[in-house]
Amino acid sequence: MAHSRRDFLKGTIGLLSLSIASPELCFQSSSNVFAAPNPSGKVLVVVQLDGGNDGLNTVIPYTDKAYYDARPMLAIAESSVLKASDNLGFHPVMSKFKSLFDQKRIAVIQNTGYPNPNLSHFQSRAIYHRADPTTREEVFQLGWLGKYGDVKLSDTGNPLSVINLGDGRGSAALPKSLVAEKLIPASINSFPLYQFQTDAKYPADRNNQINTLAKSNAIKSDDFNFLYVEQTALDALDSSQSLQAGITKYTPTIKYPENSLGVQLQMAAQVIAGDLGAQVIHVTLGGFDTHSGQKSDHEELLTAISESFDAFYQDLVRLGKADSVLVMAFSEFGRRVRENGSAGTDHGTSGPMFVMGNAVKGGFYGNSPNLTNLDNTGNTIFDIDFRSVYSTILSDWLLTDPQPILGGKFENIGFINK
Amino acid sequence: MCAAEWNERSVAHMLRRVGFGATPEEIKFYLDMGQARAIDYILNYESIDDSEVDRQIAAANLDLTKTSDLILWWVLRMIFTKRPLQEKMVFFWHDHFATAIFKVKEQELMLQQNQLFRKFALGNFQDFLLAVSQDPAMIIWLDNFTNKKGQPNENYARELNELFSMGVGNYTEMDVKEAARAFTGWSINRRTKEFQFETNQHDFGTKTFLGETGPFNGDDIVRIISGKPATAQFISKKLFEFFAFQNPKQSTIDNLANIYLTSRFSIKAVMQAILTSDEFFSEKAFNSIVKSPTEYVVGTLKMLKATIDTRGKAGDILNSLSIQGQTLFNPPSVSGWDGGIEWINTSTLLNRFNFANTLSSNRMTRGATIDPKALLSNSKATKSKDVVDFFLKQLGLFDVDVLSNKTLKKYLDQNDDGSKGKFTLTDANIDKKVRGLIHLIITLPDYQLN
Repeated sequence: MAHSRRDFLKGTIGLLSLSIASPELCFQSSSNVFAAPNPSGKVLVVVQLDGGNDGLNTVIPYTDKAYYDARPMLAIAESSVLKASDNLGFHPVMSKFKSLFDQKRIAVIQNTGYPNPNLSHFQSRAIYHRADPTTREEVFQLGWLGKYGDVKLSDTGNPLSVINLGDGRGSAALPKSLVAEKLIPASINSFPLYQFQTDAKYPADRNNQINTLAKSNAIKSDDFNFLYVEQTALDALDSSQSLQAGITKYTPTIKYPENSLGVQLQMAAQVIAGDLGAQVIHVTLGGFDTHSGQKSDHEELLTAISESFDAFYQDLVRLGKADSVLVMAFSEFGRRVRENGSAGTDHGTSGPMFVMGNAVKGGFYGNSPNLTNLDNTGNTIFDIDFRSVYSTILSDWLLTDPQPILGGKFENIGFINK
Repeated sequence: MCAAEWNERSVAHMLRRVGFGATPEEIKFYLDMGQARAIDYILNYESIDDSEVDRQIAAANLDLTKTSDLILWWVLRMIFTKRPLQEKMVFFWHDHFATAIFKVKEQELMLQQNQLFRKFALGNFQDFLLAVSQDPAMIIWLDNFTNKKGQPNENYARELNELFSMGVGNYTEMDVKEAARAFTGWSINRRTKEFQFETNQHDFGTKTFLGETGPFNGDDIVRIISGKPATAQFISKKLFEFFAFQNPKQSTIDNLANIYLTSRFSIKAVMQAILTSDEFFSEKAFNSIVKSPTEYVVGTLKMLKATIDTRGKAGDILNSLSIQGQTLFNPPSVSGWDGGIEWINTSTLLNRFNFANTLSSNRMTRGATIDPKALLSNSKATKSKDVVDFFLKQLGLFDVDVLSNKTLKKYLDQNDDGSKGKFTLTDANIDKKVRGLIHLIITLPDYQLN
């Protein structure tokens, strides 16, 4: 294990002593207390397509007979595919996505995966989050974006430099990719609820309460859980004040679709417009585990992607931020080539990843999966290691050396204009 | 028997783990019993009369065809039951065999599954696994009703192997495929909502599963899985880590796994071994687990003797549980909640703090309310220091740092402008400062831990 619990503890203690130096000063101010430094001025928005997206029905190999043979119920007829090259096209509900692709704003990296693929959602998800194919699912350890945050962002002291968003339903559970050693990412599920509330009957006592809370979360301890809770509490106080002050800069004019991804990407736009210093933003769209009755569920999900990406891009253009934001979408695996008897697909292996933004050199990258040369589970054999996509983003977008973060050297795929 | 001292602190620890916390009166009840008898009493809960909880729930007049009322039904059970371990086991199994209403869509079936968990809470794991494999909510949740001969659906077979019994690494992809074939035709009758074996959808052919070959059915798969050392290890470790602490020694798990196998898959035997171990009462175990939102909310309502008016804004409790990260009957996926330290992020923690504020500052009769004055009437506390000590104990906290304790005392004494004043026990101060104090105790880092 590269990073032990003790390492985290050390990081936590270090930060703890920094940020509690004078809690009363820190927390009494209601103004925007942070200089909001963002060292590169660039933002990475990561979109997790949770549950295993059926890449073959997203980016459709419409000239491949094997595709049609394997999917009598689920294959998309060639006539309705939104053709984007001589042999590839998008699902018919993805017209807006296709339009962005045609404008060269989207790169599709085909057939990404990793060696000895694990067909467990939980294991494979952990592998993508930690950029480590040998990781175990259950251990609380560093994620690839957390490691990046430790290297580049922890010194800023900005509790909003790494943000996980939720859609107001559920709880915005922190993805494993964001787990860091030296910083606590802000997890924000709903802007209105992201504030520390005190008794409305006695507003004059509020500062006393906030200060008591801050002090009782500044106790020294050698217990990891205890320290983690304390640091999270202090960062929650800090980041909530900063967020509430900053998000008022945004006025909505672009219409986002009313789905989970649309809600989250609009929140991302609001954070970006607020110049709060966020450099990594993570959002999640769930529901991709389509074992049965896949057709309508998958259509709905792909519609959400297509329309939300489009709205987000238009919004960034309007805000003058389109040059400084890069979006990357991934899923923990693709799905089985052959459909099952439930009009669905079982767990698969490789699949496409997507990158969107003005900085992107649009188009298709990598070879499409070979649908006749499958592994012994009936799944595709990957072509591009997903860590090459991370590596390209780290080096060409976030301008950092990918090797210490990814634990090895990976090919630069060249989808970013430098 | 255990070496640890038997006192209020250790009893409070035990009841946080085998239940959802305890009031000082409950702690005294178990303390007076002595350690051996108390553990025996907790484990052999069938002999405890729990009919009062049914009366309390009946009075709430819930509509169990509504998810919110269904959740409330369970929350009230957790608060009022006299069989803490049974309810805690149901909570454990709900996370283990995680099934969600968002896909099952029928409250009745979720309730039925919950009662199944109650029935098998400390039962025989092989029988339990078979019952779960035939449970209608589970069959819908993991698509087994569409699992047909010739074109199997792997969803149930995979999760049975990966999450419900052995864990990743103890079976091959071929085992998943073969198990899926064995479960073909295990469906439900949509009208009666009961398990139904559809002969014409079942693959009667020969399968090879975990090294054994035969014309296997789901029963055979469950039988083979239940007796595997990997299952013994997986279940023992999960139980130990849920009830005692993370990352136990391998010898501890080996011992429990051995008990599981020699007792022919008795969960009760494993639990008895855990609860009577020195490790369970060791310092390593104390306060080592992050409270789940349910433990946080249910424990708080219980320890503060909250009144819950379900006709009113009880929805606040449910909404708060959800935004803290845990909607009962609606786990995020089949692997349940990640739990542990992953319960904690800036959003879920703020939502915990705001639940504490909503509860402590609710002066209406609707929803969940507390009566600080009535609680204090059980004590002689009048000075700020004693009031702080009283409420820390009321909330089961025996290890709060001296500095934190002083900070809370200072808060009680503080004037609005932050200057030093002097707390006196007046009704006005109870309404303002004592409610504020309760809010702050529930936000302590200590209180986030079990």
